[in-house]
Amino acid sequence: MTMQEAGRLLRAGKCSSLELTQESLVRIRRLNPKLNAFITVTADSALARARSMDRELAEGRDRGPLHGIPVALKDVFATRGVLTTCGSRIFADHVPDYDAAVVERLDQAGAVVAGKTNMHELAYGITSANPHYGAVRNPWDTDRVAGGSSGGSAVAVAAGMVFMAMGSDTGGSIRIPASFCGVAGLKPTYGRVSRYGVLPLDFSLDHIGPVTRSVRDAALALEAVAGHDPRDPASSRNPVAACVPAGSVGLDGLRVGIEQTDSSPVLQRAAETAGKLGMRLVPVTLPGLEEINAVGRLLLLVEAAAVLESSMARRADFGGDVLALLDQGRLIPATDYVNAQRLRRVLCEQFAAVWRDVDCLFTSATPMPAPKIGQPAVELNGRSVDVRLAATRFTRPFNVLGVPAVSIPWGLSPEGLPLGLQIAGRSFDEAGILAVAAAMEDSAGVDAVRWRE
Amino acid sequence: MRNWKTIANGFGTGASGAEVEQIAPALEALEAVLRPAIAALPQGTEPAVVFAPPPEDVR
Repeated sequence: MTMQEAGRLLRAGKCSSLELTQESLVRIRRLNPKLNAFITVTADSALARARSMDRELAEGRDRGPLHGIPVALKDVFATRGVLTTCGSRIFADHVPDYDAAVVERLDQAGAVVAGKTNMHELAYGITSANPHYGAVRNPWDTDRVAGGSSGGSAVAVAAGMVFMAMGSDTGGSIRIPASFCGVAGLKPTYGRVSRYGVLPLDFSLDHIGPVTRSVRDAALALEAVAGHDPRDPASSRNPVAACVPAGSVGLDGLRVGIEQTDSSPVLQRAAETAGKLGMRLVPVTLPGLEEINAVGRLLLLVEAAAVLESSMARRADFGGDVLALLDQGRLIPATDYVNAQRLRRVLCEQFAAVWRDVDCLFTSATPMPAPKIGQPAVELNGRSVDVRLAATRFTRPFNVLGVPAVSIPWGLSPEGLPLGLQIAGRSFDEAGILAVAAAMEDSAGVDAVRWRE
Repeated sequence: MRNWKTIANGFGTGASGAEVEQIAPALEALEAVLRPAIAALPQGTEPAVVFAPPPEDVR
């Protein structure tokens, strides 16, 4: 069931928020020991909140599509009085005395927070094989990673524990787990959703967005959390446009760029469907794909090292992979960092030209399905590639550029694992990419890729 | 090629020689992609992230 469907049942009086929340908590209790999606479950406060939301609805106060809906938060969002570990030992006892902006907005929207989800340590990695809280496991095959860093959020949604979970995305951390787990993941435009109260990883690459079971649910969640926040220096004053796609979306003649270096079956099948839906296919080669990925990695290495420098005396408290990345960041000369930012400007300008020829871009979200837990490399086009570099190849560029991108489930691999299609668009054109994504999802059926117990 | 061990020692990072040896290939690979692109940058190219002065106090 999607969040939209649950909302309809709620308003028709066919179920209550309390029942939805109880069902969520039952599923978390049953599945979490196996999947390890949650670090903290806030059962008591969720039940109290659900009762309160039911009372409000009965009194005629309807806060909107998230009213009474059980959701979860990646454990990187500050929550007043609730443990916020960032998936780390460094913040193992951290209990904030304030809420992140997104938490405030979800509260205003009537959402019921069921708990805080497990993640890659400090949001710095793509597997969520967390050394301190245990690996998040992919429901499709529990020997495989969930993706990361928002792995627990994707699993919580894929396994029906909650209807929506918030994540953060610095190089693909929403879209990669969405792709690996068979759910939708939206990274909005940089500055669209406030980062206030989210542990920073990279100041100019961090984005906040939802993981959901349908494209329209992602749009509803975005509308609830988007908007200007003076506490986030990068927060945009651009007005938030309505972005929930209509029931039937017509996209005749829309120009879809098909990335030519991406030879995945996902992209081929997506191009066929887009063509059948009347969209015009335009072959494109994304400019400077290698360079833009390298720029993104260098900026992340340096900024993450800067953010966490005060904790570097506690080397034993970091997992091995994160420590190695932090060490790399500390060795990069300042001149390289500045030059990478200069190169970023040039690449952004080159990329801007792409939008003259196309209205949106298709790539595979990840060029492979979820790897095994602990697997260091995958084979791509006959070459062994580091899992992290492979998974972020098509996601990271859109963090560097700051433009919106969504991953939607698009079929299964030969091993029966989900694969994601990524749709990216112009700055602040969330409505555009979500309309295309919804049309694609409608053509396949919203339940076409759905994990079942 | 940079001598990463010397840099690590100079900065006092606390990383051991073995740890630096392990991360050096990743740093080299990153440099190999970026160095030619950075060398080709026009001299006046500004960084993507620039300082924005506070709004002028117009009286």
